[in-house]
Amino acid sequence: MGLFEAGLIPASEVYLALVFNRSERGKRMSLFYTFSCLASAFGGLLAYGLTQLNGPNGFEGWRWLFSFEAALTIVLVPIFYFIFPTTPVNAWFLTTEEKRIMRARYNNDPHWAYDEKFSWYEVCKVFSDPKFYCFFIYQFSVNLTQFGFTTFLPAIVHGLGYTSVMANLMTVPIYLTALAFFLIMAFFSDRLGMRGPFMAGPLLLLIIGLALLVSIENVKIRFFACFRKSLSYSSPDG
Amino acid sequence: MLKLPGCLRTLALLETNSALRQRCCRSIKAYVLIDTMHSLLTDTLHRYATYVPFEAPVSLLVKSVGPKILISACSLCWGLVTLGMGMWEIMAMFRPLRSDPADKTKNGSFHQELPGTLRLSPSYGSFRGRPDSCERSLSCPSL
Repeated sequence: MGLFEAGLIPASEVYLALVFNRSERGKRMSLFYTFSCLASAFGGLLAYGLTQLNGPNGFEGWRWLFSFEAALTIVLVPIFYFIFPTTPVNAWFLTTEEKRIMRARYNNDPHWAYDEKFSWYEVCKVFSDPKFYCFFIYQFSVNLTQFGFTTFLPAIVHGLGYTSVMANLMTVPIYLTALAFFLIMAFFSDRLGMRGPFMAGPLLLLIIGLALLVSIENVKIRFFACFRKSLSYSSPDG
Repeated sequence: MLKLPGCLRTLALLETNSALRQRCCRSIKAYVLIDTMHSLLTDTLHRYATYVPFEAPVSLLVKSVGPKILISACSLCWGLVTLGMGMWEIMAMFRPLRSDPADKTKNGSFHQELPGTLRLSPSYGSFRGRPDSCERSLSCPSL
């Protein structure tokens, strides 16, 4: 699953880059990452609901969960394939005039050279770019905290004293808060044309949230710290 | 056009999280929280052991085959893997895919009959011990 999912994010980001210019991309990327927040928020509820099913013929709840989610994916694939355009310039739903505008937009900001030939030289050039290493360290550090938080959030909330069902439910408002904050940050980032402060700000909140989670014993404050930590969810890398 | 890859992203995360949560809930029922942490760590590592090495080559593939074909192919494959994860103890389904009686006899373990893709699944290790058997006994090997 990890192998196949590896293709989704790069391909989606490339496609968004084909459609939107740099100055327009922040808001659109945030909408794309919104779906991650939704999955994190409601995944627990869906999992709880479906694992309550039992049968027929001893088909346990956890089997229902995987089968249901797999069925949704398999149904969505042909829809995606037939609706999604190969390139935005030649999208089937655009008029000739709109296609001309799309081509002009791309020519004005050819950030993704999809009409150029693949070259290993161009690929290797990235290793001589110091920005690549800076982003490598940045992304590594951000993901370390983010994936740790999302993976262990039900366990953290469970540790705060909630039962396993309530623990899953209590993660929903955390992710919804993160989602709202992320959209606001992306909107203002595009509007002001700045990225740096909107990446650094949430990281500060992340540090405060983690420090509270580690150092404070009071359950209510620790739950508040989960909200504080979640404000950095997706904003720094989205 | 944002909605379609967005929906696929949601499903990808749901399926990954389900694999982790399934393990988590199972262990919480058994009141072995420390093992939950250990299990989650193992599962997460399994997932990213396949995810990380393939992200760079796949990013290059985007240039060659284009996002549309790549997203469709990847989504279909992980959908099938997830479907297999829900059914993999029904051995009759896998025998036509990979029947290897010699391997089974040699090792005496049913999971030798799994198709190759499922061996790569990050949650493969999670289901070596069945959930119901884990609830009955804390000596389940996967805990």
